Amino acid sequence: MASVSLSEAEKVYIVHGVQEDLRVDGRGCEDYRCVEVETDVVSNTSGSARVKLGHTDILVGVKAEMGTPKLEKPNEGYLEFFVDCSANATPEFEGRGGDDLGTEIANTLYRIFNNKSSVDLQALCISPREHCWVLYVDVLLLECGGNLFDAISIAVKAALFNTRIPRVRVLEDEEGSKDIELSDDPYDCIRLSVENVPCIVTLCKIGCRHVVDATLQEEACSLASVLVSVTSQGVVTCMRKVGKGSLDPESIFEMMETSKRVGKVLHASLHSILHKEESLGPKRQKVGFLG
Amino acid sequence: MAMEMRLPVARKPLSESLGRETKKHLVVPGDTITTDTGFMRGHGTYMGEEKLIASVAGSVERVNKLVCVKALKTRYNGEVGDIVVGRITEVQQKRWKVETNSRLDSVLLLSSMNLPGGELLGQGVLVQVSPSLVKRQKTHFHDLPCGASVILGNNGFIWIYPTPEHKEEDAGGFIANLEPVSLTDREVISRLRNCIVSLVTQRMMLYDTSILYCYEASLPHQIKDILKPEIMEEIVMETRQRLLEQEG
Repeated sequence: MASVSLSEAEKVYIVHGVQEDLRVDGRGCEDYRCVEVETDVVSNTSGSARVKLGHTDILVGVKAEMGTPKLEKPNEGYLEFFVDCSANATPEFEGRGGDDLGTEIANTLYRIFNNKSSVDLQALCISPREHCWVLYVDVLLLECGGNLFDAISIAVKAALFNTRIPRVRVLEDEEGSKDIELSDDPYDCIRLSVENVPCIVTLCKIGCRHVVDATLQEEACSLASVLVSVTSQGVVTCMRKVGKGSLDPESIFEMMETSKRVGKVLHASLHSILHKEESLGPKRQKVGFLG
Repeated sequence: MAMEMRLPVARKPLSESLGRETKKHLVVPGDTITTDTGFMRGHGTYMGEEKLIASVAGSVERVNKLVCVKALKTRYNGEVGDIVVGRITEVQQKRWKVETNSRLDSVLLLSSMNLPGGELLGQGVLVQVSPSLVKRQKTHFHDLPCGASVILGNNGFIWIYPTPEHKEEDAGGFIANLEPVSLTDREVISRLRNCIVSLVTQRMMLYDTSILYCYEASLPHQIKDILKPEIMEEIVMETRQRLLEQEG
């Protein structure tokens, strides 16, 4: 993870500030920085989204391709995650430096989607045991400004919301061989339901309290963090602890309660902004990367 | 708890809202500045095919017969007499390596540690900005009336810290004061930090007056709201107007 070096005095200042619920930029312990979300930024994907959270900039692209279902789950499609930490984000990612972080994030994404209800995988099946849709979700880290996991999960949810998979029909002729027919209308497509897609809330323990959405400086003062993946109903799908420090079981319980509360608000805001963007229709002014 | 999501908005060009009489002559590398050969070449220019061409992106400055291009975003180039704030990155046998946002790391020899004007800093907040936004002034140490002090390093590192109550004599060696800073001081420091960040986002020059006016303009808003784009624009616009009134 990209890190900054701080002096002891600076760390003490930050820790005391968190104690009094006043962080360096004036936020409280449970406040997020301003988030900017835009979908449909990459034209040659099935769905894409870009999320800016303070200095953290994430781009996610989803491509739907046809493949064969996995042997143990013949009636379902599946998702594949790949995370690229580009050297643009921070000089530490030059060469192979970003690979470790990339695999860590990809494994976390696999874990949080590894349950029956996050994404309706049966809707991705075309014909059992033979064809299914595989969604390749590619995450690109453009800039690293703290709180990567939250931003990435928001971007993945927004990109899945934006994904349009072409509608196909399976035609069987007399000899029994199957043919897949693509609909003529380019706008005839199926959308995924992202109601149950979880988002990650990262809680960093600083001193005796925990903060949401930590900046790079705050992450440098925290010895332990908990990543909780929460759905819009407040259901926790997975939890993971990172960092060298230890955590009290009571603080873990408090952090989980905080994450459920924060997660519900996060999902509600994301839901409303995605619907607002969609209601603007195809004529909305796209900002993209050159705005 | 507060959570705000918004759709991105395209940036508006600043010059429309400025109402400036003289437009700056902006150039990019490769642009011709002038075909008149009577000028002396300054920094950021070179002579090619009988015309003066810019080698950096910035604004053209003309002083009598000297033409140079001042780059808008560059690493810090040191000058004698500048005040800089740096972060010690490495400790070697007889010297320290200091990071000062310049092309190479700076070196601080242990023998020069107790010279007047150099000191180690205690609790506070560091804000990193582009060096071109810090105005050159007589003094860079400012005790602002709102209750905090600011050191504007020429290299773009700005240190905000609570004003020490009384100047103590250094009793040899440095012991950082690690007592908790009071909540009122913290609010002032956070507010100043957000004001500086908003001034930098709107590309305004940083000096004690501009920071102070921006602080006063931000008082009606909550500290964490200052970083919202619309409030940032409103505050900086007010600061700009007050500065223009003061000059005019």
